[in-house]
Amino acid sequence: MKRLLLAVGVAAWAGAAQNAQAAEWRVSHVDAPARVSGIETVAGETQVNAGGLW
Amino acid sequence: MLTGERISLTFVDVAAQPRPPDGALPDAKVTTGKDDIARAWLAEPTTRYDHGILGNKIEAGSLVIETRDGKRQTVRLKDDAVFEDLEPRLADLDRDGHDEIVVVKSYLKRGSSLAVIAERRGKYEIVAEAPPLGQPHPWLDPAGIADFTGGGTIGIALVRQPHVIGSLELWSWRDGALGKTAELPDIANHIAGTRAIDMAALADFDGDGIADIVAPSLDRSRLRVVSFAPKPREIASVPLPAKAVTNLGLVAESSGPPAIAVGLADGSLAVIRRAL
Repeated sequence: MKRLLLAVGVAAWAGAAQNAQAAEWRVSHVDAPARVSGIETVAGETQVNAGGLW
Repeated sequence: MLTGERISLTFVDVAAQPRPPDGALPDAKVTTGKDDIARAWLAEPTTRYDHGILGNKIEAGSLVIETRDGKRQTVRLKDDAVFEDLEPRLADLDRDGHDEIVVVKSYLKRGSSLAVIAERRGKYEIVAEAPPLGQPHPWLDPAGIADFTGGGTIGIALVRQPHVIGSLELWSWRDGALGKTAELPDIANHIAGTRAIDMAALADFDGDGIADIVAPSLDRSRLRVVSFAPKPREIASVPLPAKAVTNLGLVAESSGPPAIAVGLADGSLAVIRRAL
């Protein structure tokens, strides 16, 4: 299992957003390069656990 | 941080977390403090509680507190209870400059309760407990600690029985006792049998300067953003493309409230953002 840091970058893309709650909130369905198995917050950073990348 | 309309992710290999201290609960999270408590963790694994809501039937029989001077104290439970939790939470509940510790204590015959541990005459001990849920196995999961009303009182938000009831309750510790002050229905912050106990997050989502709570609905098909200020209310209910199955993560935006990241049952990642 690898831990991935969610941050600004150019490596992945976000799918089309869909409107929610009178257009105030948007959900972007992100295709991660591997199945997302967990999210942890470590020292204030959000880390996405995804298996099978390496 | 997220900027602009386009969401992008960088995937970075991060160093493994340090090995937990000797005697710690397997998969225990070591909580670090900024004040008189340096570190705290759950310890003395025991199988005396036949429940397994956190993925195994190994719970903690004690809590270890390491103070800033390096000394350690242990708060050990009697055989009729365990700490059914993965991490102690540090917060200065009474604003006296000293952290208290909030943890889930489960009685083998009476179910879970919320416990507050504080220093008394140089010794850490349990100083308050909420009434246990009444029978073996009903459990609760803390969702966050903050001033949720804006009135200056630090509250403890928890979800009572997040798998079957899903009641988000606000508790406060005043005059030595824990009391429930508000509640909202239809919230889940845990999936039975998993170690993901942080399916809720805190931030000011509506811009009123007061902490709000985001967590899945009881069926985990939506993310609900709720507030206790000025009274219990829903700020938003956002349908998800698939059910939420992971902890929530917050990602700073260049302006406005943070985005919310959550893993979904289809293996993908959803990022929820408030349009400004």
